[in-house]
Amino acid sequence: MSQKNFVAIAARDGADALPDAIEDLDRQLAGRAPVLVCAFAGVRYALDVLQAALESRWSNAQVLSCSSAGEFTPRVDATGSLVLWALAGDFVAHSGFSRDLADDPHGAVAHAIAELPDSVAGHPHRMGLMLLDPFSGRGEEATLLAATLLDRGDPVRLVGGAAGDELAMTRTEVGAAGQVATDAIAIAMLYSVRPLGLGVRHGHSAFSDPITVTRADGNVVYELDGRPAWDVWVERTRTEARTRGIDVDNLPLEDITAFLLTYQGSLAAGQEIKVRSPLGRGDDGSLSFATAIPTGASIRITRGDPDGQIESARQAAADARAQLGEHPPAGALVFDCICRKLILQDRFAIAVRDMSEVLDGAPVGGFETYGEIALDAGDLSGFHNTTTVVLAVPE
Amino acid sequence: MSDPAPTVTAEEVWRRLSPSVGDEVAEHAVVVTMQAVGLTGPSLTLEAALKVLEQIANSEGLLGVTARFARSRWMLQLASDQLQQRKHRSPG
Repeated sequence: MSQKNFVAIAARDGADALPDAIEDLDRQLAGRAPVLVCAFAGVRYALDVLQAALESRWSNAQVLSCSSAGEFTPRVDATGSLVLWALAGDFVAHSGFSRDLADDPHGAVAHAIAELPDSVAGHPHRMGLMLLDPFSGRGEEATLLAATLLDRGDPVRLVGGAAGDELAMTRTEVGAAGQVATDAIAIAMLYSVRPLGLGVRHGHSAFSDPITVTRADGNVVYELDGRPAWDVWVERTRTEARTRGIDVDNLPLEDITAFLLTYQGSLAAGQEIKVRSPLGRGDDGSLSFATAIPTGASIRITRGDPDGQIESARQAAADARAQLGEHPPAGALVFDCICRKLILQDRFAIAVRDMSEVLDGAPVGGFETYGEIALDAGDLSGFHNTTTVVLAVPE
Repeated sequence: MSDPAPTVTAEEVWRRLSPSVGDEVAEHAVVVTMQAVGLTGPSLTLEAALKVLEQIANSEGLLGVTARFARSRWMLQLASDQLQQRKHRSPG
């Protein structure tokens, strides 16, 4: 007999966050055995300790973990805290992990997915949950490689996020299958009886004229229109930034990340834009991204307003909810770009509560990312920036 | 008489790459590859389109990965479409 699916979420901070959160999850699970536990943690927490503790507590579950830029539920909007998200019910889960994503993306992805079964009897639907290090610069490549290698007979669906480090922009970690590392990829494959819901939306629009990438290597853009990338970024955002009280010519060093996450790049893809976020500025005036930007690409700089961000989150939840059909949501896992928090500030919590409301009040939790992963069966790209990704689970 | 081989436009091919690499890089890659393999028309057979993507899949980095993925997903889609057509044609 099919059991009812169940999502439990615990959010804690402070020194005893881990034992407290485990105790809270245990209480909510009330004897149910989770098949998957995800942990999103501020950088104060040692992720290897956390991963080991969760794997020890729920030895039959797959555990995915990562450092994050912020953690949230409808009641908690925090930085430096811990959110645990657990799934119990009629699922089968397997996981994999690999290092060296930057140097060998194909090898890393192939290794991470090597032990994932193609199919599981009685569970016809697959959803891959991926976490990766954005500083590998391989966000899109890793996602498309995983999809290509996992597309065995039917197109796989993928969801997930790029880890964070509270905007320090120095080091992130991901964990699965007994390991934790930087420059790594972690993946869990969920096999379900009913399809899960996937919603993905952004609320940004391009405002600058097109700028040509004239020199790039992988995820580092050195020149735009033949000049240092940073100089062009500053020039093209000067007027717009002034309307928000930002003086781009006198930006304090500590404000550069927030500035870049406010004014992100985008690639034209037909009538759509594909947002591409610079994560940092090099001493040579280059800009590094979470994924490759090819030389010859045309970039337009984007902006987002708070109302658009709230609406896009709500819409992402509605899209995910719609895919569940007649089945009510048991809960949802959300991967939300840190830039949206920078734009929304205190209103970010409203966006999370809105998502829960759209999902019939189901438990919602997740983390603030440096990149989001969402690849549905008909999609041709899977790595996003400044986007809300909602994975809804049916009861 | 058999049905003519289905064709697609070059744009339909490069649109499959542009969500990852952008319109300009996608169009350039397809146009240059078509020229390199001697395809000149505005349209090409499905088989030729898949060969163009296969050729681009040999590229380094994101472009190659994107072309490999696009080709793989297109082939899955074609196989699924064929299966649906057979189901509709088969009696009962």
